[in-house]
Amino acid sequence: MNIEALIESNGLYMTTLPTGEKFTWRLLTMKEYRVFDGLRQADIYMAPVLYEMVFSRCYVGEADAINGNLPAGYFPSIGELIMWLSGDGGVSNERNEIEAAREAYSADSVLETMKRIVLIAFSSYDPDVIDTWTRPELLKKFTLAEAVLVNKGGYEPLDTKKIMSAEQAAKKKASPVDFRKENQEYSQAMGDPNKPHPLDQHPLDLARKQAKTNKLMKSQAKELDKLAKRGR
Amino acid sequence: MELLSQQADKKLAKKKEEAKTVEPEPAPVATSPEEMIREQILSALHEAPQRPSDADIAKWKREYGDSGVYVSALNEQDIFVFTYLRRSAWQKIQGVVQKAQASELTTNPDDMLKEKVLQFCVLWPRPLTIEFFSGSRAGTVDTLFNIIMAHSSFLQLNQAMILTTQL
Repeated sequence: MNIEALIESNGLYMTTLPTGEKFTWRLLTMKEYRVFDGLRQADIYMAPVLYEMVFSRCYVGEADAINGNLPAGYFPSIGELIMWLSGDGGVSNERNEIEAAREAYSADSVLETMKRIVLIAFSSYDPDVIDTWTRPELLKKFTLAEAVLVNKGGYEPLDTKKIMSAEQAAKKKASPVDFRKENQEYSQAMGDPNKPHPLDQHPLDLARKQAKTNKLMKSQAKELDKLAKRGR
Repeated sequence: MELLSQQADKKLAKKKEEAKTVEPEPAPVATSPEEMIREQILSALHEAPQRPSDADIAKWKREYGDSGVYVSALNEQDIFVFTYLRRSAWQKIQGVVQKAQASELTTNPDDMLKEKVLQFCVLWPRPLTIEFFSGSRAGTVDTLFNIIMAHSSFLQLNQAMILTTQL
């Protein structure tokens, strides 16, 4: 197994054949995907040949060392899957990927919060660079970032008392929904929930209400006329 | 009394004899459509001229595994025994085709690839001659190639996805 590739790669996948053999692979980078997609568009290689090349590039291990007696089709099939996950999936795939990435990203975790604060304070850092730091390095940069932001003003240092253990966080997540708060937010957004919806009212009530509104508009028009006469 | 019992014994013995001679009718054997197709293909192979012997089939099974030898009958004349394409053969074929393509020895690498796959995988009739590739029915080579590829685990995207998990 290629440990360097494991460390460098951001996402790894594993395909398990019905016979039990396991193959670990990564996705193509955007640049690699463009190259393979270009080769496919140019129709230089037959599809299974091109997908085999994709597999060989992304397989975390020695592709030449794979058991030669295995059915040939598994590897181009994995290659095709790599192409699909690396960009062929298109918009529908992207939508699901964004949702999955959001779910996977632990935005509330202390580590991610620290990273974000470092990025706000020192925007020239690449987010990927932070992952190459050790934990003490991150802590050092984080405290420096906080000091910079406090000096700039408008920043309150992270309250360490609010940091929860994993169990506490899980408990908080599992707590029941605050319906009262939710209803308040809903009524603020949608208007008074105690007033019946126009579709639920009797037609006569609606007509009466409409007449009242018209009257108001007439009286308002008269007032406007008066103001205009005075102005002349 | 004795006479009566003798008569009863005779009747019983006669009945037993009758029961012995009347054989029960064989129960109808339920055959599924798959089994019927299998029987048709195998009988087509048995009726084929210069068909492979049982010893040949046993030898192939020893070499490629019990579930690694297939027979396909595209019609009464076009019957083929083949094995699935293995990774080692696939890599060799790709190497040969790419070299030929690079040195402009072939104008159609797709056809060359199909030809090589068939030459590697078809066990009978063998060898596949130039006459076969140029003179057989128009769809035979492509169909046989697709059948071999399908038996070599070339999967649909969703099938490959089922076998895959994100780490």
